[in-house]
Amino acid sequence: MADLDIKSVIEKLSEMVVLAGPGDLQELAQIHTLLLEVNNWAKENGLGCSATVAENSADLIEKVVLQEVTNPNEALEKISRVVSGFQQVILMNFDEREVQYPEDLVKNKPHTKCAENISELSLPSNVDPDIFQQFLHNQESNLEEIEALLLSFEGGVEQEKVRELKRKIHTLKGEAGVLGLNDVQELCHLAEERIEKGISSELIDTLFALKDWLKCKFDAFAGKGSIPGFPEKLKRALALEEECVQDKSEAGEKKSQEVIFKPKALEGDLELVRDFVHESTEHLENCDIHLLTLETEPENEDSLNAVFRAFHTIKGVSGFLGLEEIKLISHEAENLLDKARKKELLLVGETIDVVFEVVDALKECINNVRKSLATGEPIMPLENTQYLVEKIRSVANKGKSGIAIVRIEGEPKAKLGEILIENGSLTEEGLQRALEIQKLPPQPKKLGEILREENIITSKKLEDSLKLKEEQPGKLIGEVLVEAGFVKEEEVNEALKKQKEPPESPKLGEILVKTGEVEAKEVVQALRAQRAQSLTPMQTAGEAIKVDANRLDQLVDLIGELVIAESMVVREVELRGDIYSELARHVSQLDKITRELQFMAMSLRMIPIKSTFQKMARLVRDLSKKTGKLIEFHMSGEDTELDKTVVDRIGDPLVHMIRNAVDHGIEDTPEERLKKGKPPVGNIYLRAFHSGGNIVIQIEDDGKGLDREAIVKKAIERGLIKSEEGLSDKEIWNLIFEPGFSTAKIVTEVSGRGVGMDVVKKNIESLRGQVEIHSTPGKGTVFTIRLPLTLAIIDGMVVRVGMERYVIPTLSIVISLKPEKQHVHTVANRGEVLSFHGRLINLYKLSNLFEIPGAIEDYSEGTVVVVESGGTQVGILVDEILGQQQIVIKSLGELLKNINGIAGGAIMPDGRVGLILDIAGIIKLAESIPSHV
Amino acid sequence: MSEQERNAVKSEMKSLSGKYLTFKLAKETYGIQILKVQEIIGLMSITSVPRTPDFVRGVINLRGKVIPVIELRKKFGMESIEDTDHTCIIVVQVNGPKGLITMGVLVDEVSEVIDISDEQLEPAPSFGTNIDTAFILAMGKLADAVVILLDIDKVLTTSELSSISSI
Repeated sequence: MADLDIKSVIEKLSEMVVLAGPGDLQELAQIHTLLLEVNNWAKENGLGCSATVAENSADLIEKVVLQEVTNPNEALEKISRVVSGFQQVILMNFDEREVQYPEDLVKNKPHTKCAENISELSLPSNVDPDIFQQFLHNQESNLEEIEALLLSFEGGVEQEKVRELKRKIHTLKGEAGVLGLNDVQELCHLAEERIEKGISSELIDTLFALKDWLKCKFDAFAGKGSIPGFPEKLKRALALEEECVQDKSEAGEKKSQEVIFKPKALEGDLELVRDFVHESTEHLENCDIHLLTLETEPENEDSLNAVFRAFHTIKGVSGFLGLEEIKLISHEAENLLDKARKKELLLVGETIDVVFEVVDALKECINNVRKSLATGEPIMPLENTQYLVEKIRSVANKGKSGIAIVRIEGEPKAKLGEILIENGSLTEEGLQRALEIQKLPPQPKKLGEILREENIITSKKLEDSLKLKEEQPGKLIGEVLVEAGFVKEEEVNEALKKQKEPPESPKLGEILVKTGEVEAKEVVQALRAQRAQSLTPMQTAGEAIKVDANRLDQLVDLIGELVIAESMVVREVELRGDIYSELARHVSQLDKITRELQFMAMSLRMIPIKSTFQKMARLVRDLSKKTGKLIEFHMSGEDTELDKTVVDRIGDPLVHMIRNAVDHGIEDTPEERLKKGKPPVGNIYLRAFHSGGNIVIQIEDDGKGLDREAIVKKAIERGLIKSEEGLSDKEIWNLIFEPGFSTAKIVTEVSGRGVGMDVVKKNIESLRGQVEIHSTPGKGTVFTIRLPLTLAIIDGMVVRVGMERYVIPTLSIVISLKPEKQHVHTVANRGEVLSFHGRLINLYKLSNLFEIPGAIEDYSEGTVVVVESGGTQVGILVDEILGQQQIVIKSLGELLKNINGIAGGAIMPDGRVGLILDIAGIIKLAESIPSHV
Repeated sequence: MSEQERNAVKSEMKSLSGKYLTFKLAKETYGIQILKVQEIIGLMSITSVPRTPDFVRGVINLRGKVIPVIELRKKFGMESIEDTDHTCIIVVQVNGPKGLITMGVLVDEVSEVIDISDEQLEPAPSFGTNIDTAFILAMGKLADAVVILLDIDKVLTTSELSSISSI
């Protein structure tokens, strides 16, 4: 390296070190590279000490990036001292021995670390390698199941799942112990202990990290990737949290001594207290129902407001009556709800659990007040008020951290009633009664009822007003209420509006709570169980045998051959004409068996897309944490089966698209969304379903949508298009798949999309799929991926050109037609176009492109097949269409794999090879060859 | 030729001795090392592939596998003839850039499998720089004829293999 270069490297380094913070990954990565350059240069120039320092500094940066350093700022400080040292040595030619480098970085790096890694890899000698292999095999699915369990906790923790998780980790711990994987054993042990102490969202994060590390580790044993180091940080996180919890509870105890509530005699107007007890009970009962609604729809504003009002009222009155304990709890709860109303917080999982606890505690408090009223004894305080208050505060302070909720759509596997009965919360008769009520046609609610359910008035006030109304006949109840000052006019109007809405048939859970069959809390648990069931893998899958994929492919190939041979025999029999003979009967029997066999063979390679979808759920979760966006992730159709290769290879494109949807699709802040009149929580939908012989995977977000202007601007800048004139939205959207679009970083930030979208498209096309974009500005974007059912079979249209037959994939065919002469126009005697649906499309002769003799040359005599690829439509002239059939795709082999316009071969029913056209290739070919008219 | 060179040739010829499948092309007899031959199949219908060199006759379905068929006459610049009852496809495995490639070689007629000893072998004659004889392993002298032993890996040289691919 020339001196000039090293000087600019040092200068750049000194600039960057000053600017970089511990969180700027990119800058740190650059510093890392620069340090390595300095290291090389110093080695070449005999500056041994500086070389070592540079190398050690690079290692230090790496540690900062990996967050293995306790004090990253201090580390950066050290690096900047190193850099100023370099400046002295390299720029000012100081003797490197005189320069003060940080001491610990001068020392030669201890190389024992590598040795450790190696010894980690080699297993204790007494472990049977077969057993170890078996263990690794099992871990793959085991870890996946653990991840599924963790994901299910995100929407709320369910005890059954916690036990299952604990069991899994416990087993893993035991197995790791036997196999001598001490680090795995140690971490699993810590994790197990932590889980026992209860699940918190921090713990879920840590457990996710643990799962990732384990995966890394096991993959390394299986020969994929390198062994990860011992995760000190993870261990600390697992152990530290433990201490934290202890700290907290200790602190809590100390504080609770300060604010402890003493038994207190009732004072003031007892009549008022009685009213309060009555009112509050009513309010709290309504709360239960509304919380139930919130559990399934966290953003339901009506319910949110109703709960908020209840706490607000209770707080006000209890303060007035001097019931300090009730006031404190309801005050904290009100604050929490207020945050939720302001969209700073989402009532899900842990948060909603806390609200339930508050409702329970308040009920108990009020019950104590009631007892005191009856007996005249002082009111007994609750035992754990302080703890509860702390809990509310801690949940409320979590604030805006990104949350992703995973929802599986479609029919739940178990019914709510069944779960409740199984839990013992509900009896059969109770369920029957509730179902009867549900069947009744919903009655329009009375105005008073609505106001009461919303916690706006109490039943006592309602009764008073009704009495007033009787005294003043002819007046409407609403008017009476407003006049009495019980409610505001807007509130009445609001309620009237609601009254007009067609009443929904009430949900089973609500009925159960209203009729008092089950507690609201239990219903919530059951709802979560219902949701978790669809998320976690089915336990009842049949016994499975692992088979070598190659053998399976061979089997499928052979069965394909059998089908062809069989169809030849069938045809032979038919040709002979003796279709009533014994032989014909046997052959038809054989035919049936072969078809079944073929069907089985095809299904062998099919696996549900669930595992890939699950990875996406995890991805959304991680991304929402990172970006701080609130996202609800809906999945449906995760049981849809696809060819294994497709399931494996669709993962990467999906990751890209989901990441785009989160990063660029969903608006940056909830406020931005509210301004546009959308719910504050962004939605991303991932769906898989069958449609017309294809499998469709859709990624939908309800975010910003694509920015047409920005894309056009960028495309013109990149020279992809000349102007946007005449380009439809679809054509504009397709521009983001162009390779040029993904390179510049700033571009994508402006346009909103395009990170590696060309790769996405390429991947999907290599699976013989297609991808389409639908986007509405301000409403969101839908990516639709269409994939063939299996990789091996396609629907094809067989066409004849001259003496040759070709297969056109039905997926790319728009229409086939016999053009009228007047619709075909010659352009400058060079090419021809067809006016089709008011547009002009280019026409090409396949005989021309492939130099096939003896084919029809006149467009009006043959058939034009209009095909589409990448948004371009062209017409291809063929002699005739022979028919449509399912075709098993074969590669033409190493030798002929890259022929333009040919995608592969297919074995036709007569045993010959038919060639499958590659439409994209044909269009390219047609554009490159001048046509001879 | 020096003693050393002669010895080198001798040992080379020794390594080439063994069983060969012989076949006819026009009036000439050729041989392919038997270990390269997978099977011999009768003529079946060949699907021609567009935009390939003329010596690529097309592709066939070999029990579910699609393999290319090379017309050896065209490859050697001979005049092509109508297929006869004797026309055969010899399925061979050649070393390609990415491992073994199975392909068919279309020949006029398959003769027999013969054992050729190292005494019967002679190095390939050189016809000057105009004619490339790299694909000839050696010449075999039989009682009544001379067999041209082909290095089938080199018949389709790497450059030709890739040229097919890039068309």
